[in-house]
Amino acid sequence: MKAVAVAVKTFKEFPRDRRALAFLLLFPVIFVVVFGSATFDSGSSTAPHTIAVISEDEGAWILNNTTPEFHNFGEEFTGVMENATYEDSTTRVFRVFRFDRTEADRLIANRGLSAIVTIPANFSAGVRAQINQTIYTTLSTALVRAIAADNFTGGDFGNYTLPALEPNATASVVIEGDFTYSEFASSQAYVQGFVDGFVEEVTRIATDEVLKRLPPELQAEVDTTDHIDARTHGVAGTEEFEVFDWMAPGLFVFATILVALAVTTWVAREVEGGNLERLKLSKMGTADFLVGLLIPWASLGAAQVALLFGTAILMGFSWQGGAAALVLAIAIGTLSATASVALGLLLVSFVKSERQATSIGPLIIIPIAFLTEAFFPIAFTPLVQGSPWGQAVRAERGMLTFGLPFEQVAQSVLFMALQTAVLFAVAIVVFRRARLVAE
Amino acid sequence: MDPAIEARGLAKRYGDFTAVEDLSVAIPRGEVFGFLGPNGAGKTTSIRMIAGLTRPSAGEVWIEGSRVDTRARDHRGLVGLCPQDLVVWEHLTCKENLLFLGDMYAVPRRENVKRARELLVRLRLEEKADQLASKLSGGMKRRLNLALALIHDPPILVLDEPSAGLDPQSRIVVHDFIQDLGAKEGKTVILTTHEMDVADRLSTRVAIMDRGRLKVVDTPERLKNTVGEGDTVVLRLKDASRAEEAARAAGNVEGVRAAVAVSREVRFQALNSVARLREVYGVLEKAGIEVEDASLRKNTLEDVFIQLTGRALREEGGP
Repeated sequence: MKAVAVAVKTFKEFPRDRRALAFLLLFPVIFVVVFGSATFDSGSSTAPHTIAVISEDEGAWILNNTTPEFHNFGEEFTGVMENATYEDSTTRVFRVFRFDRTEADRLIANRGLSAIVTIPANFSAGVRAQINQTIYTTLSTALVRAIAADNFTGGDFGNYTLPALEPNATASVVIEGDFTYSEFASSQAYVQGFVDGFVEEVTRIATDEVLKRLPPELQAEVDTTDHIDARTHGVAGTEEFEVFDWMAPGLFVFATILVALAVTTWVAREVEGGNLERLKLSKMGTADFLVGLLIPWASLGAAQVALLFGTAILMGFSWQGGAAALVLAIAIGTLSATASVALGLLLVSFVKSERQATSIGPLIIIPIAFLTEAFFPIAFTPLVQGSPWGQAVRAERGMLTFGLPFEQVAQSVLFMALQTAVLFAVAIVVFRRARLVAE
Repeated sequence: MDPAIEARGLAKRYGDFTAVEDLSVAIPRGEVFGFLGPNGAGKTTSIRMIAGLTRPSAGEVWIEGSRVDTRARDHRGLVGLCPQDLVVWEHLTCKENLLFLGDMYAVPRRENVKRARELLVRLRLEEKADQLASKLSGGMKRRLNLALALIHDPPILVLDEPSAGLDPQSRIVVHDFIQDLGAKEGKTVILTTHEMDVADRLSTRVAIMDRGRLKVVDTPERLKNTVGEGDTVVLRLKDASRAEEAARAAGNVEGVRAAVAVSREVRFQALNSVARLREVYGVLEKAGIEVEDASLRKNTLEDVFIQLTGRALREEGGP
């Protein structure tokens, strides 16, 4: 009952404290409008492209003269990309990471990577087919020339066994990324170039090996069919989205993080004004106060997400998942606001005035907001996963931007709920000791 | 019968600083008990310990016969506190302020509404019932501040400087109200003040505090009588540096008692004070000490304070 009275009181105060309400509702809306109107540039063209390489290459046996040798050309190709530098520069073309599929998918969704390069299981077999076809074509062309010139003696050709052709052995390197991300476009072009270059180099070496053993009149370079190619795929759910579509869910969560700052300021005002001390003498318990505070602030968080969602749609946010995703996104926003209330209570345990709250609060809250991947990808994922707001951004973005079903973001929501519960428990203990017992 | 409140050897220390030392008082039910002293005397710290807001470094507080444990909540609701600062919820109306705090004390809804209405009427705020507290004048806010302390009808009321910053009209309303609380409603009222006339007028008994220590406790009349019979004469000197010399000279005049120097003034008690004043004037004139102004009045609690401490109430730094 007392908790309800605290909640009702706070609900009454919200519209009467216009300054605080404007900060909470209009400030995030301005963010959404600004980001929705902005255009984004990928930056320098000679910076390394951050890519993940997933090599599934199983390797292949190749005859070197008559000696069989095992090669994994997938590893060799990856090494070539790792060591490549821009022309007349020591800057590497790629920063190559070897993530598993799940991690690569997560990072590409958050733009932590510009592309995922998958080397197929038959890559080495494809290279072997390319080599064999080159040898076969070069030798057979020389043989035809010798016969036509009527000087075929069978001499040198007797040392060769024509290799078996593998016409169906074609390996495709898959380059995946977000088509709307300009960084992907340039990364994809570079990877494509490296695949083509690798095939050309393999072909050239095989050709040279054959030609150097033939008399000059029989030497001729020939065209071959490529057994290696590169294909480009868009990452599921990203084919049509723009930068703002990626950012909007982060902005929704950012707004709920601001609740922490508002709660800190709000309660600090009650501390400074002596109101909390007045309540300390009453029969109100810690739980009454916290629950009474949580109800209106979490509701405000839900309202914020709904308001920002509407604003984002007006700014061109193309969202996935339908009405169910929207309802879940609001629920996640409410949970995020709950975590923010806990953070606010924790902070207000260490500040005694509204002025301290407004000066110290942002020092804590803004870095937390940046570490959630709300605005840009974070390479060090524990920083993101360690906070309930980071999990909230991941879940909201997964559903609204990438159209993932709830089951695929449920783990993030579960972690978020657990982290919020722990944060709240800590906040209750610290706040009670600092503010609700005799000094 | 147990006293309403009893403090036994209360002390509060903050590091090396002692705010209150060895405070022991017993306050019976229905008494209006005043803590009088200058700013920094330890009055507010004392009542905060009594109200359970500050944990004593030593000593105990007993309310209605049971010891107060600041960690427990069983004494909550027995004390109503009216802080010195204006502690109201600015974005709630007067009525909402009272009803909200009543809810926090678990006052039944119907009774809460009734008491809120009564308090608004008694403190002349009924016309402002639906006005936001932020729109009230300072005096009205202070009256609302007082009403909030009473919404749960506590048997004990603690008022910290209840007259501070009040306009004359509000002052009359508040003083009459406090007197009625003790006299008509039988509530135990503890108030702090640095205004001697407030303590004198409102208090059944007065405790004079200075530098964290309790100097004396008694009724205002008896305290004033300890200064002596007769009147108090106050001479204002032109040269403050000769006040000590003037006090010694005045003290040598027959019939003059308790002559003290207080900044630029010399104060003494005397029967037949007009005749004594003429003689003191003569002595000072002979010594070349010029008197700028002279006044004659009945003894006050400030005279008691001066006698006890050698300083006036308003001299915060003091010797």
